[in-house]
Amino acid sequence: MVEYRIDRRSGVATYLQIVQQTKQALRMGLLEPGDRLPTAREVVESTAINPNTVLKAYRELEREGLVEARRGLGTFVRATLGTGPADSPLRGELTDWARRARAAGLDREDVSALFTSVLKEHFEGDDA
Amino acid sequence: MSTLTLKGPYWVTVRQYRRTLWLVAGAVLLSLASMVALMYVDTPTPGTDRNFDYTVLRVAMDWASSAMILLPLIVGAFVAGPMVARELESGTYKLALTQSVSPSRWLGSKLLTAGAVIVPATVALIGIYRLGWGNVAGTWSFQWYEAGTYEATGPVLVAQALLALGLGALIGQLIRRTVTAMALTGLVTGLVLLLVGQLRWSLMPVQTLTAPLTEGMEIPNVPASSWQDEYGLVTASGDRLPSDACWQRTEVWNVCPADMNVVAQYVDYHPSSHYWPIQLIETGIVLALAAVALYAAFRVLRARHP
Amino acid sequence: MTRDGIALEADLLGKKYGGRGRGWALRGCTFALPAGRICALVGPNGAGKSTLLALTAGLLRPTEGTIQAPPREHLAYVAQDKPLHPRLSVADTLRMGRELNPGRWDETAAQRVMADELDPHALVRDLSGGQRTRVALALALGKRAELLLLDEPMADLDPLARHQLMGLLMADAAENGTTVVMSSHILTELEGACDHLLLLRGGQVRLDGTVDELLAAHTLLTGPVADLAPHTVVESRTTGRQLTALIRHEGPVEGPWETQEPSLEDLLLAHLRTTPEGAPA
Repeated sequence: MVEYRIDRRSGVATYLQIVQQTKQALRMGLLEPGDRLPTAREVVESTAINPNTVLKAYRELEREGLVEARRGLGTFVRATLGTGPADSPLRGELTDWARRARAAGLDREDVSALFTSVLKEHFEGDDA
Repeated sequence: MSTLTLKGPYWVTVRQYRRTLWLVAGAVLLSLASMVALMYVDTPTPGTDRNFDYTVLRVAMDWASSAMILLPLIVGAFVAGPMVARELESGTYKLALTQSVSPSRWLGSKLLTAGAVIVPATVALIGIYRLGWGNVAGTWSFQWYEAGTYEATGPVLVAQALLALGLGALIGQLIRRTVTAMALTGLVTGLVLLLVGQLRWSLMPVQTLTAPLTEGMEIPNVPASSWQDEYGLVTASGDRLPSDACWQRTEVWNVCPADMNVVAQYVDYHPSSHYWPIQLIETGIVLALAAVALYAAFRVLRARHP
Repeated sequence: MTRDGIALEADLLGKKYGGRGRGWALRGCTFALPAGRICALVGPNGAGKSTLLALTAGLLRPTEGTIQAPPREHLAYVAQDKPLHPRLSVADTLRMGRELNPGRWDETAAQRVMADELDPHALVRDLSGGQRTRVALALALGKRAELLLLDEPMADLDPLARHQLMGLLMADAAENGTTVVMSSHILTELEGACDHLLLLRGGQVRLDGTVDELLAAHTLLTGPVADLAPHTVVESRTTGRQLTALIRHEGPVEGPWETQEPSLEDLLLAHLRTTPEGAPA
C-alpha cells in the first residue's frame, strides 16, 4: 500500500503529485499488479485534499493503463513500470557503474551531475 | 425527575436546566417541611384572641403571602432570561435551530417543559400555603380577600404563572439580552397582574345590605368574612349619597335634614361565597392573556426564523 | 426545493440589517453551487460571508431575493463562534445531536471527529477553543447532512488538528458526496481542499466558479510596462521598468511578458488586495 505525501508549495498540481508518486511506487516495486490502491476516502483523510483530485489522479493512471477500477472493490494495479524490482539487470549494471565512478574518484555531487546531464540528453522533451 | 423516558428537544431542555429543576423540587420540599415544622411547633396561646394566635406561623405566613405574589414575576424572569434571551444572546439558538427540529418545536418544547414544572410546583405551593392557612384563616390579615392570601389559595396563581411564562417567551425574544429581559418581564408581569387585580371586585355583582338610619358612625354589619366595598346613604327615590352627606349639613353623623329624604344607609360587599366565582373568572381572564402572549411569542419566532 | 444537481442557489439575494448606520450586508448575490463541491467562501472582514451562511442555514430571512438550500434536516451549520451549551458535558452535547436528529444521527461519524481527544464528562465551558471546534464539528458531521456550512471552522485549531479534521471533512465528502461551503481566512487551509470558489466583497459576489476554471482564466505575468488591453487587470504593480500583474485574459496573452498560471493563493490575494471600482482604498 502506498501513502501519498502532498506538498502544497511545490507548484506541481496535486493530482500530478499522486500520479507521480504512484508511478514511483510502481518503479520501486512497492506496488505490484493486483495490489489495491488506497480508496479516495483513505487518501483524503490522511492528506486533507479534495476527493475529486484523487479521483482525477486515479482516472489519469487508468487512462495510462496502469490501474483499473473494479466497481465496488477499489482501484487495482494492472501493470508494472520501467526498470521494475530492485534486483533487475539494469539496476545491477547501474550499481556496477556507480562503483566504478567512485573508484575513479568522483564524489556524490559529481556523479549526480553526470547522471542528470545524461538523463537530460536521453529523455529531453519527455513528460515528468 | 428521570430523564430516561424523555425524547428529542424535551430531553435537551431538561438536561439543560436540570439544576433549576432540582432547585424547584428542593424549594417545594423545603417549604413543605418548614410549614409542617411551624405548625407542629407553634400552638395557639390559650385564652388569647384568635387574631393573635400562632405568632410565629403568622409571621411566616406573612412572608409566604408576599413570596406567592412574587412567584409569577420570578417565573417570568426565568423564562425570559435563562430560557429564551440567553440562547439568543449567546448564539446557542443557532445550534438548536439548525438541527432537525423546527423553531416552533424548539420553543414549544421549552415552554411545555417549563409549564410541566411550573403548574405542579405552583399547585404544590398553594397546597402548602393552604396547610398553614388552615390555622390562621379568617383572622386578621388572613381573610380570603387579602392580597397575597387571595392569590396563594386558589387557581388564579397557576394562571398568573402561566401568563408570566407567555410574557417571558415573548419579551425574551424581543429583548435578546438576558438581564434586561428578566427585569422587563418581571416589571411587565407585575403591571399586568396589578391591572387585572384592579378589576377583581368588579367581576361579580356586589351584594347590598340596607339598614335603617341610626345615629352615630355605626355601619351596618355585613356577614362575617365579607369583603366590604363602599357604603353610604339612600334617599326615598333610591339615589345613593356619600356617607357624609348629612354630616356636611348638620355636622352630626347620620342626622339628616328632612329635605334630603334620606331613608336608610347601605353597604356593598362580597360575601365569602364569592371567593370561588371570582377566582374562576379571574383565572379565565389571566389564562386568556397568557394565550395571547404565547401566540405573540410564536408569531415573533416565525417571523424571524423561516 | 433546489434544482437537480444544485446544492445551493441564490438569486439576487440581499440582506439588510436593521438599526442605525447599518446597511446592506449582502446584495444582488446570484450564484449556483453544484452538489458535491467543496466550496471556499472567501472575502475580507465584513464582506458578508457569515450573513450568507446564516441565510443558507435558514437562521435569517432574506431582505430581498431568494436562496434555495436543503431543508433544516439536510444541512449542518457550524457558526463562527461555535455556540454550544456551556453547562452540558461533551457526551451530553453529542447526545443532544442524536436527540435532535432522530433517524439521521451517525454516532460513528461523530466519534471519528472526537478521536478520543476529549473526556466525555468534561463540561463544554471548560474546553479550549480547539476542543470546542472539535465538538461543534462532531455535531455537524454526526448529522449526516447533504450540505455542510462551516464558518471559519479551523481558526482555533493547531496545525495538526487542522490537518486531521480537514482530512475527516474531505473523507466525509468522498464517502457521502456531501457539499461543503467553508469560509476561511487561512488560504493554505483552502488550497488543495476546495474545488469551488465564491469570493465576496462588499456584500457582492466577485468570483464564482470552479477553482480549475478560475485559475485557467487568469494569468500572472511579469515583464516590461505596456498596455495590457484587452485583458482585465485584477492587480498590477510596477517596480522601475518592470510590471507584475494578474490579469483575467481575453484570448491568448501576446507580448513581451513571462506568463504563468497563478496559484489559488495568488488569485485570492490579488482579488482581496484590490478595491472595488469607485471605492476609496
